[in-house]
Amino acid sequence: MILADLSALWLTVQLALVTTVLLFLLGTPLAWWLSQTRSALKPFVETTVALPLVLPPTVLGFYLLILFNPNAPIGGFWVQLTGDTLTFSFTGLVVASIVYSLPFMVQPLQTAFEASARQSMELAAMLRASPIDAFFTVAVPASVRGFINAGVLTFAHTLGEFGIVLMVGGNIPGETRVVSIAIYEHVETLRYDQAHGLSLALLALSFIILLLVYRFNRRTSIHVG
Amino acid sequence: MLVEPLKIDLRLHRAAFDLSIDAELNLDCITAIFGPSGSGKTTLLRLLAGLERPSAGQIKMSGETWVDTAAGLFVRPHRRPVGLVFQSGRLLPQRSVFGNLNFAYARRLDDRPGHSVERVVEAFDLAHLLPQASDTLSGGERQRVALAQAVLTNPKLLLLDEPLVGLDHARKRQILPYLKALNTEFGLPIIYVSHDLEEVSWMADQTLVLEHGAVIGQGAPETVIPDLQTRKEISEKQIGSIVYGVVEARDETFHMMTVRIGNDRVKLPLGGQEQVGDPLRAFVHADDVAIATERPNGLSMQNCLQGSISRIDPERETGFCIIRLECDACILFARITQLSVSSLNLKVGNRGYALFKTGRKVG
Repeated sequence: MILADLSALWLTVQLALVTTVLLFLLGTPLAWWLSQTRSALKPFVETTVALPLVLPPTVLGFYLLILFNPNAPIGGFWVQLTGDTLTFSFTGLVVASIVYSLPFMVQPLQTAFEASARQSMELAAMLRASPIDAFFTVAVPASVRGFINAGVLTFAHTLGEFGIVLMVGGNIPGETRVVSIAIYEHVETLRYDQAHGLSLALLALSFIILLLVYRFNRRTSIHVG
Repeated sequence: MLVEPLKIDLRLHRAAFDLSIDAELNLDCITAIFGPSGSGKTTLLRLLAGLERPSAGQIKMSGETWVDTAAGLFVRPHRRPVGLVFQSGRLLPQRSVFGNLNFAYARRLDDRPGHSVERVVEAFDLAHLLPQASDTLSGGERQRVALAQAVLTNPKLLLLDEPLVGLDHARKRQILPYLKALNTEFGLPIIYVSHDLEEVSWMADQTLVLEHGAVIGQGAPETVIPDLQTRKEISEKQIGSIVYGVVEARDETFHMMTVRIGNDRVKLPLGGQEQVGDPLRAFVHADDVAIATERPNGLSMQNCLQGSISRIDPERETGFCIIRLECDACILFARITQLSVSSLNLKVGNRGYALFKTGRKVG
């Protein structure tokens, strides 16, 4: 595997890690709100969160490209703030990945919170725990599996991102050239050996990650005290 | 000690259920909320605990207002000095028994006497369970841990949702005195949901009866319960009476005691703790009562009370009927065959003697 391919692999892992961490921060409160609320807004928010599951990545990518355009308000604001554009940059890729992988973070967390939390949260309130206290001492420990599932699915799903990266990020080595793009380019230029190498690496990585999760889910029971 | 009553004036509208309750409950005693399933007992407890928001109304507890929808006031559940034991003993998952108790104790309202972890662990016999994970406990064990947990938060009002369901007689005998002591020694008011008349008779000094989300009776169990007996919502095996009397004598030789009910005297088995002069409630099942037209001789049944028959209600499709007999200071029910009624020629207004075996009694 040549250096450029290794660099693409490393960039992909970085993108997946950053996206997963940021999605934990954004997705947890959103999933918690969805699991607790009786608001009429809930189905609309749930629908919005699920949209990336059904929309072609090119549609998402197209809208993001328009939003990121330096002449558009969001893109322009970003340029003023940092001097960089969101299009064709690593930051832009992170934002796009967050949108793209949002359902893979929110849905497992929401399911975990709904399954474990409602009854336990009521009990915690009766034991005089404030909602925030109860969230950290009761809901989070009861949802460890949900967090692991959500994190791994988000990470693995971001690894395999292609269409949206192509639309928003392009193919800049070391900046936006992730594995899936590199493979695409190898195939386009008929370098099948290198395409094989990278594809196999991505396949193995994804397989190992998912295998670890399923084994963990089957074997471990979780206790906190 | 004068305790301000708990004032409840609540409405709750749900798709298939309407609740409308306006009541004042004395807080210097144990209150039983009694009623058939679906009558709103659990919902009322959840409203008191703050786990449900009423559509309209107020809750006032010793000068504090917990809910006042007109003023937009709603005290959230964790800020109310209330302990609630959920039906079937809900516990925190993924924690040991000790972890569960410690969670509650760490968040207790304040330090008050009689609520140390050691004392509560002993009262509910939990010492050997402390290291166990909460999801490995049996139903009865869960309920004991849940009760202990609620007590450890030092609530000013303890709400219990059928806490004795699934416990055997021996456990009930062990836990009931402790719950009563929480009330009598430490002045902790207890509101206790049950659909079991026997439990109500053991526990409560005051009864609130609900049906279809509304109050249909309130008062001492022995005065409220008899009027419910003819309602079809009470299942037949539940029909019976609560008699209230005072222990007059103890007979250690035969392990019996004499209880005076008005001018009548009955013999009941000694429970061990009753002293002469103690008030006592006992539940007498209608199935355990026979009716005679004259005072009989040479019978093993020790108890014979004279009264007059005030009602005869035939049961549908069984051949039995329920006789209501007004005695000097209590009302007894007897479930006998319609054949007996006919052959003895029993009529409303007739004199009759109620005969019953020693009766069941706990607590």
